[in-house]
Amino acid sequence: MQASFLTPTGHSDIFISAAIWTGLAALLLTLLLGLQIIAMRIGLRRRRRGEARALARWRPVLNAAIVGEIPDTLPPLRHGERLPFLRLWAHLQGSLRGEANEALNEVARRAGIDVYARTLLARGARPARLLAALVLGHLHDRPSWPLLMRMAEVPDDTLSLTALWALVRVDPQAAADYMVPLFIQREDWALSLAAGILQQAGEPAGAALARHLPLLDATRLPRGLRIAEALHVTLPAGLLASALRSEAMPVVIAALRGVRTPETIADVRALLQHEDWQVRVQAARALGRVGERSDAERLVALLGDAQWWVRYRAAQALLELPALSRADLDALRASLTDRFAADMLSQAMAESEAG
Amino acid sequence: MQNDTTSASILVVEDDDHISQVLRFMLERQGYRVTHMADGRAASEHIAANGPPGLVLLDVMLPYVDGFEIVALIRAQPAWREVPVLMLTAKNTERDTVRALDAGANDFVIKPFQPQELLARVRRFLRPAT
Amino acid sequence: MNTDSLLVAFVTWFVLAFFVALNGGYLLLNLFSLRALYRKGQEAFIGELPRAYSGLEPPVSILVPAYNEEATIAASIRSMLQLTYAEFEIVVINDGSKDGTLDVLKREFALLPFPEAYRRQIATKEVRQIYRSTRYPNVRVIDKVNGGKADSLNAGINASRYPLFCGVDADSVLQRDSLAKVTEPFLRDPTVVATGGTVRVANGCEISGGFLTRVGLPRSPLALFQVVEYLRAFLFGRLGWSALNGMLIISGAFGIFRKDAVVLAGGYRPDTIGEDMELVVRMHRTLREKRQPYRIEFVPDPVCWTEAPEDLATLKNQRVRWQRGLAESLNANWGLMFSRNGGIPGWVAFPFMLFFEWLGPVIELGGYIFMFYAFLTGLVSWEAFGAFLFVALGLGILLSASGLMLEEMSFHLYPRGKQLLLLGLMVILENLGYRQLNTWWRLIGLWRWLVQKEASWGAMKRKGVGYDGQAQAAPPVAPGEPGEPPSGRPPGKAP
Repeated sequence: MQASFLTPTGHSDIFISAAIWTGLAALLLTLLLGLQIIAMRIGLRRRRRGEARALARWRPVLNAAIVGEIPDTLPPLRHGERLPFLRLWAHLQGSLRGEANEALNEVARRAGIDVYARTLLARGARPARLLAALVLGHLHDRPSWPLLMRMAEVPDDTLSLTALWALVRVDPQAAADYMVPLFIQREDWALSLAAGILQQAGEPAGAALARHLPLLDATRLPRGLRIAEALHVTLPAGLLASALRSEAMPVVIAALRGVRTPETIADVRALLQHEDWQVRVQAARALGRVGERSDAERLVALLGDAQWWVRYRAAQALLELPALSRADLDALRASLTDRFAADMLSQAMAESEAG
Repeated sequence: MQNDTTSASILVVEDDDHISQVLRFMLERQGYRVTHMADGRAASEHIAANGPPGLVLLDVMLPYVDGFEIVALIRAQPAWREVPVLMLTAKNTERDTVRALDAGANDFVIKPFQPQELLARVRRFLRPAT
Repeated sequence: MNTDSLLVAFVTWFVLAFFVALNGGYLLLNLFSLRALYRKGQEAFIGELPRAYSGLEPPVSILVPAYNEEATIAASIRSMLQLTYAEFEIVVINDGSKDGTLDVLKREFALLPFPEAYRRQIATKEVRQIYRSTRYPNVRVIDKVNGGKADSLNAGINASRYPLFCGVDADSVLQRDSLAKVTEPFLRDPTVVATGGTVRVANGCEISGGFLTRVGLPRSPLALFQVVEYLRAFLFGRLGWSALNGMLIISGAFGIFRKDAVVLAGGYRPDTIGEDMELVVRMHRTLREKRQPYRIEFVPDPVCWTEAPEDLATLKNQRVRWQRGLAESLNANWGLMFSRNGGIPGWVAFPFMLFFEWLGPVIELGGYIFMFYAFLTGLVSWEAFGAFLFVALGLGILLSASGLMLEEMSFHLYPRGKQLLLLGLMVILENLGYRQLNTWWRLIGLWRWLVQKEASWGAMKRKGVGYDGQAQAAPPVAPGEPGEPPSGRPPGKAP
């Protein structure tokens, strides 16, 4: 039995040593943390001062380049200045377009940035590779194509998307061919990211998409169609018509979203009575875009639909129909016996007035 | 009546530090006098307290008071009513360019912008009437 | 005598172990958050570059419940209009205010009544009228019968147009990129159903036009303690849980949710105090039961600032309320604990909260009292008592210091060296009384909850049935109308 815990002068050695050692460890760690905090703050200050100096040296050079007057001799780019320079340079590249981009690129090449960025891309840590990909994309740097392609395939999303963005700027045609099937397949990448990158490829992206869409099966086609919609690509007519008649509902829904011209209007009208409410919603919207006066009746029928969103979009579509005037709409509203339909039409009319 | 000194002054309202420095550099190089305000509130105070410049270069997304409201303020001031306003819009959706023109701006430039194009539009508004 | 000594020995060891486990657990969470912060810091550079809006960022409905906010509501809404985000709408819910809140809104935003076909997905108290601003086309106001914050949020959800909604307090001070930052996880990962933003202490900061202009430290010691406390417990602790996908709380001051997931879980519960936490725990439970893959993430960037109470009475009420809210949230969702598909939330986070946060105050305070009593009556020696205090306070200081270090590493918001030193001092002082006071208040909260639970159990059950009855009273609609199943698509424009 251990020494009595109870007597006023006795104590459990184990308890006390355990407690004291734990407390000392905590104290030591706290001191270390304190020192770490101070070190980080000093480091931060020093970094900021260095950055300010670098910017003061290089900002005038970049400004001159932007207005078309690159100085004949550039100061040498010091080691510690590279990062602040790159940040300013990338920020300006993102804010400007036209000749200014090429002028900035020339300054970068003369300062040896392209070489530096390539080494960063090959051997740097993760943030360095991100920055390098960004820079090389702005530079349209062909030699880094293979490295960027490898980076586009890594599982790390930020790295791969940045690499794709850069690839588009290096060679839009080749990149579009590679990326379109990739973006269609990667459903986990948000549409906005895919569209943002593809938009940079311009026309080649649309062409690649038009080539790829007929090859897709029903599971992939919806996403392909949605990307096409985001890029405002006109789809081959036959493709849209066959998509509208597809058995797979997601395909039909995506196809309806892409209806912009009256060629497929017969299919759209047929889908207004579809059993799935999401199809009816998209059909109503599509009819608003391409419908004619005679479609007003069909849309009025949908105003009495059981689903709120169907009624809402049908009402909006009625307002979009070119042939209906304000007076027509008022008369229409007055003639409705269904309370929900009348409410919905009133709401849509009020919304369009409020802008 | 415009005399030469006022026709060469420009008010730049832009919150991005790097872009505003580029703008200042570009415009001063052309001989204009640049007054820079970094946010909507400083700009509205300036508008209320000072005489009009030759041109206002205005960003849409500003802290405290956005660009559209500043345009309305400008048009509400009698001395500033005729001042040309050139807006820098970042969103390239149709709605914002329409909104800019409806609010009373004379022209707009979409960001990312081309420096030479911006200068040409500025020159157009500051050309002395012939 | 021997059993007594055994008992005392057991209790003292238990208390010691509890303090080590409590602080150790939070230190571990801070360690997880360290990794997450490190990765985040690397990506910060890319985020800073101007990105032309591609027009496809998920649109958000910002819901602002307001009760008697006539003095500040106009300025708050105006500042929210300046958020840098591609597309969003603001829905203000006037919760039957007795002052001039609605009049102020009508005047400042040129409201006109709007014939809205209101869609009742979640039952709420009666909505009197819906208004729309003619000056700002994306602002709407709902005027309804008073029903509390949860009820107002439910009404806002019913009226919202977009697939994501943001619950925000009328007095939250945001930053212009707050909305962009907290919606970013939705862009990266389509399984994210909710994200929470950090709430930081606004006292001592300069605020103008509804936005934060300069970060500063408050003068009041109570507020200073809270600054350190928020860093220690609310910031990085939550980031740690988020890294494990076990985050059980999203602050009501600023959080983004996917509407379909919330409707699936049943919306906010109108009869609880901690409706924000209760919803999140219920979302975990519901989604786990249905075996739907999901993530609930925490965004550590400083996006939301609130005024912390600077007097003891208000602070005490706040903490008592928080503890009651915690208790209610856990109590309403027992099904999550140790459930078959419970994962980290069910097997780690819920028990952790239960033991260390819910029951914790009892053991903490009980431990202090016991040791003190035992020392006084000679049951333990002064060495043992001293050692105990050394450990308890030392670990607490270590934890607070780790919070400060993480803040310096990631955001270093306090630019002056003097501020850092002051915070360092507060790290120590916070543990010498404030933390214990907090524990006492939480104990009171626990007690009040226990007492109230017994009394109003019957009343709550009856109220629940009543609400359901009201919802079904609507005119004939297809049975599929309320609570349409989530489509599983990543958030985009509405159909």
